[in-house]
Amino acid sequence: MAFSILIVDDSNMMRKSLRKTLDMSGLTLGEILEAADGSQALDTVRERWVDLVFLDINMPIMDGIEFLKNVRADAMLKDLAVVVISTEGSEERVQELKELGVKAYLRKPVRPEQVAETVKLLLS
Amino acid sequence: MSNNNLSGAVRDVLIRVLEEWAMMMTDSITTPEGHFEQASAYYSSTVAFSGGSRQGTCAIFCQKPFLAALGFSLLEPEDSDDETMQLDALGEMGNVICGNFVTEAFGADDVYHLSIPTCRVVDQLAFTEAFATEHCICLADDTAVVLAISVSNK
Repeated sequence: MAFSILIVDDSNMMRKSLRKTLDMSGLTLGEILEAADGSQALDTVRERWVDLVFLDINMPIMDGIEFLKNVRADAMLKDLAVVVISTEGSEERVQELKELGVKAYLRKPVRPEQVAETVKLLLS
Repeated sequence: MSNNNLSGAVRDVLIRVLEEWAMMMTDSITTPEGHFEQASAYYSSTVAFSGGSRQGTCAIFCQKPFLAALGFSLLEPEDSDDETMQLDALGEMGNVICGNFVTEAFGADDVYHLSIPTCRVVDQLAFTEAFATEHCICLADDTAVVLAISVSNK
Protein backbone atom coordinates (compact mmCIF):
# COMPACT_ATOMS: atom_id res chain seq x y z
CA MET A 1 0.00 0.00 0.00
CA ALA A 2 1.37 3.41 -0.98
CA PHE A 3 1.04 6.17 1.62
CA SER A 4 0.25 9.75 0.80
CA ILE A 5 2.17 12.43 2.73
CA LEU A 6 1.64 16.18 3.02
CA ILE A 7 4.59 18.45 3.86
CA VAL A 8 3.58 21.82 5.34
CA ASP A 9 6.35 24.41 5.69
CA ASP A 10 6.70 28.00 4.49
CA SER A 11 10.30 27.33 3.47
CA ASN A 12 10.59 25.94 -0.04
CA MET A 13 14.01 24.61 0.90
CA MET A 14 12.63 22.66 3.87
CA ARG A 15 9.84 21.17 1.75
CA LYS A 16 12.34 20.03 -0.86
CA SER A 17 14.67 18.66 1.78
CA LEU A 18 11.90 16.64 3.45
CA ARG A 19 10.67 15.37 0.08
CA LYS A 20 14.18 14.17 -0.73
CA THR A 21 14.46 12.44 2.67
CA LEU A 22 11.13 10.69 2.10
CA ASP A 23 12.13 9.69 -1.44
CA MET A 24 15.25 8.07 0.00
CA SER A 25 13.49 6.40 2.97
CA GLY A 26 12.89 3.10 1.20
CA LEU A 27 9.17 3.21 2.01
CA THR A 28 6.53 2.65 -0.61
CA LEU A 29 5.12 6.14 -0.83
CA GLY A 30 2.33 7.42 -3.00
CA GLU A 31 1.83 11.12 -3.55
CA ILE A 32 3.98 13.59 -1.64
CA LEU A 33 2.01 16.83 -1.48
CA GLU A 34 3.20 20.26 -0.35
CA ALA A 35 1.62 23.32 1.27
CA ALA A 36 3.27 26.62 2.25
CA ASP A 37 1.00 27.44 5.21
CA GLY A 38 -1.79 26.03 7.36
CA SER A 39 -4.56 27.42 5.17
CA GLN A 40 -3.22 25.73 2.03
CA ALA A 41 -2.73 22.56 4.04
CA LEU A 42 -6.33 22.64 5.27
CA ASP A 43 -7.59 22.98 1.69
CA THR A 44 -5.41 20.04 0.66
CA VAL A 45 -6.52 17.62 3.41
CA ARG A 46 -10.16 18.50 2.72
CA GLU A 47 -9.75 17.72 -0.99
CA ARG A 48 -7.26 14.83 -1.04
CA TRP A 49 -6.60 11.66 0.91
CA VAL A 50 -3.55 12.13 3.14
CA ASP A 51 -2.10 9.46 5.48
CA LEU A 52 0.43 11.63 7.31
CA VAL A 53 1.19 15.34 7.64
CA PHE A 54 4.59 16.83 8.44
CA LEU A 55 3.77 20.20 9.96
CA ASP A 56 5.85 23.29 10.73
CA ILE A 57 4.49 25.62 13.43
CA ASN A 58 5.84 29.07 12.63
CA MET A 59 4.20 29.99 9.29
CA PRO A 60 2.44 33.03 7.84
CA ILE A 61 -1.32 33.24 7.11
CA MET A 62 -2.23 30.22 9.27
CA ASP A 63 0.30 28.70 11.66
CA GLY A 64 0.61 25.04 12.57
CA ILE A 65 -1.34 25.30 15.84
CA GLU A 66 -4.33 26.88 14.10
CA PHE A 67 -4.18 24.18 11.40
CA LEU A 68 -4.22 21.47 14.09
CA LYS A 69 -7.19 23.04 15.88
CA ASN A 70 -9.12 23.17 12.60
CA VAL A 71 -8.27 19.55 11.81
CA ARG A 72 -9.30 18.26 15.24
CA ALA A 73 -12.59 20.18 15.02
CA ASP A 74 -13.45 18.57 11.69
CA ALA A 75 -15.27 15.25 12.05
CA MET A 76 -13.77 13.95 8.79
CA LEU A 77 -10.19 14.87 9.69
CA LYS A 78 -9.97 14.58 13.47
CA ASP A 79 -7.90 11.36 13.37
CA LEU A 80 -5.39 12.61 10.79
CA ALA A 81 -1.82 11.61 11.75
CA VAL A 82 0.37 14.69 12.23
CA VAL A 83 4.10 14.95 12.97
CA VAL A 84 5.34 18.39 13.97
CA ILE A 85 8.79 19.59 12.89
CA SER A 86 9.57 22.90 14.54
CA THR A 87 12.25 24.92 16.28
CA GLU A 88 10.16 25.49 19.39
CA GLY A 89 11.32 23.74 22.53
CA SER A 90 9.13 24.93 25.39
CA GLU A 91 7.52 22.27 27.58
CA GLU A 92 4.18 24.10 27.46
CA ARG A 93 4.16 24.08 23.66
CA VAL A 94 5.09 20.38 23.49
CA GLN A 95 2.26 19.63 25.95
CA GLU A 96 -0.17 21.68 23.84
CA LEU A 97 0.85 19.67 20.76
CA LYS A 98 0.29 16.39 22.62
CA GLU A 99 -3.17 17.57 23.64
CA LEU A 100 -3.85 18.35 19.99
CA GLY A 101 -3.09 14.71 19.16
CA VAL A 102 0.29 15.11 17.49
CA LYS A 103 1.90 11.70 16.90
CA ALA A 104 5.51 12.89 17.16
CA TYR A 105 7.47 16.08 17.66
CA LEU A 106 10.82 16.55 15.95
CA ARG A 107 12.84 19.61 16.87
CA LYS A 108 14.82 21.42 14.19
CA PRO A 109 17.58 20.86 13.30
CA VAL A 110 16.29 17.42 12.31
CA ARG A 111 18.45 14.68 10.86
CA PRO A 112 17.08 12.87 7.77
CA GLU A 113 17.25 9.51 9.56
CA GLN A 114 14.95 10.85 12.33
CA VAL A 115 12.34 11.68 9.69
CA ALA A 116 12.67 8.31 7.98
CA GLU A 117 12.45 6.42 11.30
CA THR A 118 9.34 8.36 12.31
CA VAL A 119 7.59 7.63 9.02
CA LYS A 120 8.46 3.95 9.24
CA LEU A 121 7.19 3.76 12.82
CA LEU A 122 3.90 5.51 12.09
CA LEU A 123 3.07 3.99 8.73
CA SER A 124 4.38 0.44 9.00
CA MET B 1 21.08 35.38 32.71
CA SER B 2 24.58 36.89 32.83
CA ASN B 3 26.26 38.40 29.78
CA ASN B 4 28.81 35.59 29.81
CA ASN B 5 26.06 32.96 29.64
CA LEU B 6 24.24 34.90 26.94
CA SER B 7 27.44 35.18 24.96
CA GLY B 8 28.03 31.44 25.36
CA ALA B 9 24.51 30.64 24.17
CA VAL B 10 24.94 32.83 21.08
CA ARG B 11 28.19 31.09 20.16
CA ASP B 12 27.00 27.56 20.95
CA VAL B 13 23.79 27.87 18.95
CA LEU B 14 25.48 29.43 15.92
CA ILE B 15 28.18 26.74 15.80
CA ARG B 16 25.75 23.89 16.43
CA VAL B 17 23.31 24.98 13.73
CA LEU B 18 26.09 25.57 11.19
CA GLU B 19 27.77 22.24 11.90
CA GLU B 20 24.82 19.93 12.57
CA TRP B 21 22.11 21.42 10.39
CA ALA B 22 23.99 23.13 7.56
CA MET B 23 26.82 20.56 7.64
CA MET B 24 29.47 23.28 7.39
CA MET B 25 32.96 23.32 8.92
CA THR B 26 33.39 26.22 11.33
CA ASP B 27 36.33 28.24 12.64
CA SER B 28 36.09 30.93 15.28
CA ILE B 29 37.30 34.45 14.46
CA THR B 30 37.31 37.52 16.66
CA THR B 31 36.98 40.38 14.18
CA PRO B 32 35.14 40.94 10.90
CA GLU B 33 38.15 42.75 9.45
CA GLY B 34 39.57 40.95 6.46
CA HIS B 35 36.53 38.70 6.15
CA PHE B 36 33.92 41.10 4.73
CA GLU B 37 34.08 43.29 1.60
CA GLN B 38 32.86 46.78 2.48
CA ALA B 39 31.94 47.49 -1.14
CA SER B 40 29.78 44.37 -1.46
CA ALA B 41 26.19 43.82 -0.38
CA TYR B 42 25.36 42.57 3.09
CA TYR B 43 22.44 40.17 3.60
CA SER B 44 20.52 39.71 6.83
CA SER B 45 17.95 37.30 8.18
CA THR B 46 16.09 38.61 11.22
CA VAL B 47 13.67 36.79 13.52
CA ALA B 48 12.00 38.57 16.44
CA PHE B 49 11.09 36.64 19.58
CA SER B 50 8.76 37.41 22.45
CA GLY B 51 7.81 35.35 25.49
CA GLY B 52 7.90 35.24 29.26
CA SER B 53 9.34 38.54 30.40
CA ARG B 54 11.70 38.97 27.43
CA GLN B 55 11.71 40.09 23.85
CA GLY B 56 14.41 40.63 21.25
CA THR B 57 15.78 39.73 17.85
CA CYS B 58 18.18 37.22 16.33
CA ALA B 59 19.90 38.57 13.22
CA ILE B 60 22.32 36.81 10.89
CA PHE B 61 24.60 38.96 8.72
CA CYS B 62 26.61 37.66 5.80
CA GLN B 63 27.73 38.41 2.28
CA LYS B 64 27.46 36.56 -1.01
CA PRO B 65 30.24 34.01 -0.31
CA PHE B 66 28.44 32.68 2.79
CA LEU B 67 25.09 32.71 0.99
CA ALA B 68 26.63 30.66 -1.83
CA ALA B 69 28.29 28.24 0.60
CA LEU B 70 25.03 27.80 2.53
CA GLY B 71 23.20 27.15 -0.73
CA PHE B 72 25.83 24.65 -1.82
CA SER B 73 25.48 22.82 1.49
CA LEU B 74 21.70 22.84 1.93
CA LEU B 75 20.11 23.13 -1.50
CA GLU B 76 19.68 20.72 -4.36
CA PRO B 77 22.29 21.20 -7.12
CA GLU B 78 19.71 22.74 -9.47
CA ASP B 79 18.80 25.37 -6.81
CA SER B 80 22.16 26.10 -5.21
CA ASP B 81 22.93 29.15 -7.40
CA ASP B 82 19.40 30.57 -7.20
CA GLU B 83 19.52 33.65 -4.92
CA THR B 84 15.83 33.34 -4.00
CA MET B 85 16.46 29.81 -2.74
CA GLN B 86 19.67 30.90 -1.00
CA LEU B 87 17.71 33.60 0.86
CA ASP B 88 15.05 31.02 1.72
CA ALA B 89 17.82 28.91 3.28
CA LEU B 90 19.16 31.96 5.15
CA GLY B 91 15.65 32.68 6.47
CA GLU B 92 15.24 29.10 7.66
CA MET B 93 18.65 29.29 9.31
CA GLY B 94 17.44 32.38 11.20
CA ASN B 95 14.34 30.50 12.31
CA VAL B 96 16.30 27.44 13.50
CA ILE B 97 18.85 29.60 15.33
CA CYS B 98 16.25 31.77 17.06
CA GLY B 99 14.13 28.80 18.21
CA ASN B 100 17.17 27.05 19.60
CA PHE B 101 18.61 30.23 21.12
CA VAL B 102 15.58 31.09 23.25
CA THR B 103 15.49 27.59 24.75
CA GLU B 104 19.27 27.49 25.27
CA ALA B 105 19.42 30.95 26.82
CA PHE B 106 16.17 31.14 28.77
CA GLY B 107 15.11 27.50 29.35
CA ALA B 108 12.01 25.56 28.32
CA ASP B 109 9.49 27.02 30.79
CA ASP B 110 8.09 29.85 28.65
CA VAL B 111 6.52 29.69 25.20
CA TYR B 112 8.27 32.08 22.83
CA HIS B 113 6.51 33.45 19.78
CA LEU B 114 8.88 33.75 16.80
CA SER B 115 8.23 36.06 13.88
CA ILE B 116 8.48 34.91 10.27
CA PRO B 117 12.11 35.46 9.14
CA THR B 118 12.77 38.69 7.24
CA CYS B 119 15.60 38.47 4.69
CA ARG B 120 16.93 41.60 3.03
CA VAL B 121 19.96 43.45 1.76
CA VAL B 122 21.29 45.84 4.40
CA ASP B 123 23.87 48.59 4.34
CA GLN B 124 27.23 48.87 6.05
CA LEU B 125 25.71 50.83 8.94
CA ALA B 126 23.25 48.09 9.84
CA PHE B 127 26.07 45.56 9.69
CA THR B 128 28.29 47.71 11.93
CA GLU B 129 25.47 48.20 14.45
CA ALA B 130 25.25 44.45 14.91
CA PHE B 131 28.53 44.58 16.80
CA ALA B 132 26.98 46.80 19.47
CA THR B 133 24.80 43.85 20.57
CA GLU B 134 25.72 40.38 21.83
CA HIS B 135 27.29 38.70 18.81
CA CYS B 136 29.45 35.90 17.50
CA ILE B 137 31.49 35.84 14.29
CA CYS B 138 32.76 32.70 12.66
CA LEU B 139 33.89 31.21 9.40
CA ALA B 140 31.68 28.50 7.94
CA ASP B 141 33.31 26.64 5.05
CA ASP B 142 35.77 29.57 5.00
CA THR B 143 33.05 32.22 4.57
CA ALA B 144 32.19 34.75 7.27
CA VAL B 145 28.89 34.99 9.12
CA VAL B 146 27.76 36.99 12.15
CA LEU B 147 24.97 36.21 14.60
CA ALA B 148 23.82 39.27 16.58
CA ILE B 149 21.23 38.99 19.35
CA SER B 150 19.51 41.74 21.24
CA VAL B 151 17.43 41.00 24.33
CA SER B 152 15.35 43.31 26.46
CA ASN B 153 12.87 42.93 29.28
CA LYS B 154 9.22 43.60 28.45
